[in-house]
Amino acid sequence: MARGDSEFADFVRAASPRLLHAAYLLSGDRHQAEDDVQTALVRAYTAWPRIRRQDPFAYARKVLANHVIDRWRRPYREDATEDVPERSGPRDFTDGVVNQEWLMRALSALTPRERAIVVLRHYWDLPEAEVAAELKVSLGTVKSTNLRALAKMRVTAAGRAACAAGRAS
Amino acid sequence: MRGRAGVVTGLDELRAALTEPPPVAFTPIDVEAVIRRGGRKRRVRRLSAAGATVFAFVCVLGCVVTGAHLLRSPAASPVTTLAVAAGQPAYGTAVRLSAVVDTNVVDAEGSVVLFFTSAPARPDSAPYQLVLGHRTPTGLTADVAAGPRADSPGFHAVTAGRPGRDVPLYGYYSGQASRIAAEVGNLMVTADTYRLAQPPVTVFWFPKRDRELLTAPDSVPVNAYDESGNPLTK
Repeated sequence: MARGDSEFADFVRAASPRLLHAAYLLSGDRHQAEDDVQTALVRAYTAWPRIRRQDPFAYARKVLANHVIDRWRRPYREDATEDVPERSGPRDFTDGVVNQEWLMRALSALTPRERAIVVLRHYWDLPEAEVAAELKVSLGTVKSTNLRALAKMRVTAAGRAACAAGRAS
Repeated sequence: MRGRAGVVTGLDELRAALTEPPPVAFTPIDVEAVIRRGGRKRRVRRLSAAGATVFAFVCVLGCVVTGAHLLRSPAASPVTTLAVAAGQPAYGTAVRLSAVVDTNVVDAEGSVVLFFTSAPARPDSAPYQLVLGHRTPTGLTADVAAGPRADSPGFHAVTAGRPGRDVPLYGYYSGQASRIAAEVGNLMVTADTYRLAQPPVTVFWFPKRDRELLTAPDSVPVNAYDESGNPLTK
């Protein structure tokens, strides 16, 4: 393996857990997340001679976010399957899984761009200006979209709370 | 802030939920596959870039060759772009082939003259070349050899920026022209001319009085006319 390739392999080992986590937050699907990260890393490898001395993680993150948004822009394609997805049953509200369940439901109510902005802003904790630069949108768009996304998530949370309260009484 | 039913509602709670480990186990990334696919893309990209470079080079080369061909062909006349004097040494081992044309322009070095010499540097393609020089008390000097000679009729060796700028533009028309004039805006500036029998060309030059007029524009269309005033160039 060439020196550049071994550096890249080290980078993949170090960066892939966070990239996979973020990709999962962006898509809500494990297999899709793995495919998205693989695509982002392929592009990172293509540009590796140029980005290796800069910030390869930022590059991969940017590619990943934009790739997920672009995928949603493409015509919708439904893959038929005979497997019926499992339905989630009632769980203990104190369990961390509940938060994850709520989180994925709340995220799924967002548009791809809103979702990407929430993940970049609150998972990766990027400043708004950096989010704007990575998604190639204006700072104002990031601010307004972020506020709108959080408002939607609060509505989802409120609905969930009301349901939970109803079940508990 | 956590809602009464344990549901996340605050920003800090949202961030905490986002950073919680996902409830799924990911398959490890296949680095070899990534490198394989990325390497393929990189090669394709490099090939595309190389192809684009070659294509651009071919386009530029084509434009240059076509442009040169158009400028040299008679159909390209009467527009002649000013050429900067090559400043290459003249005379030396070359032999004077024509009479010396006195331009009636006198500068610090003497009387400015034009004449043709052989072109030993290009014996196969340029049997003669136009030379601008001076008639001095000690003899004839050759200062600037102006461009190679071409067989086709039309303008050749049109040269600007002669040392001293006392002859702002000169050259020769391959053929017998009665008048040679340049178009500068709406003005027609007539050159001084001299017909040589051998070689059969009309030498022309614009003297000092036209210097400012001719040096202002980037290019000056030059036309040749016969005795009836009809343009010889199309």
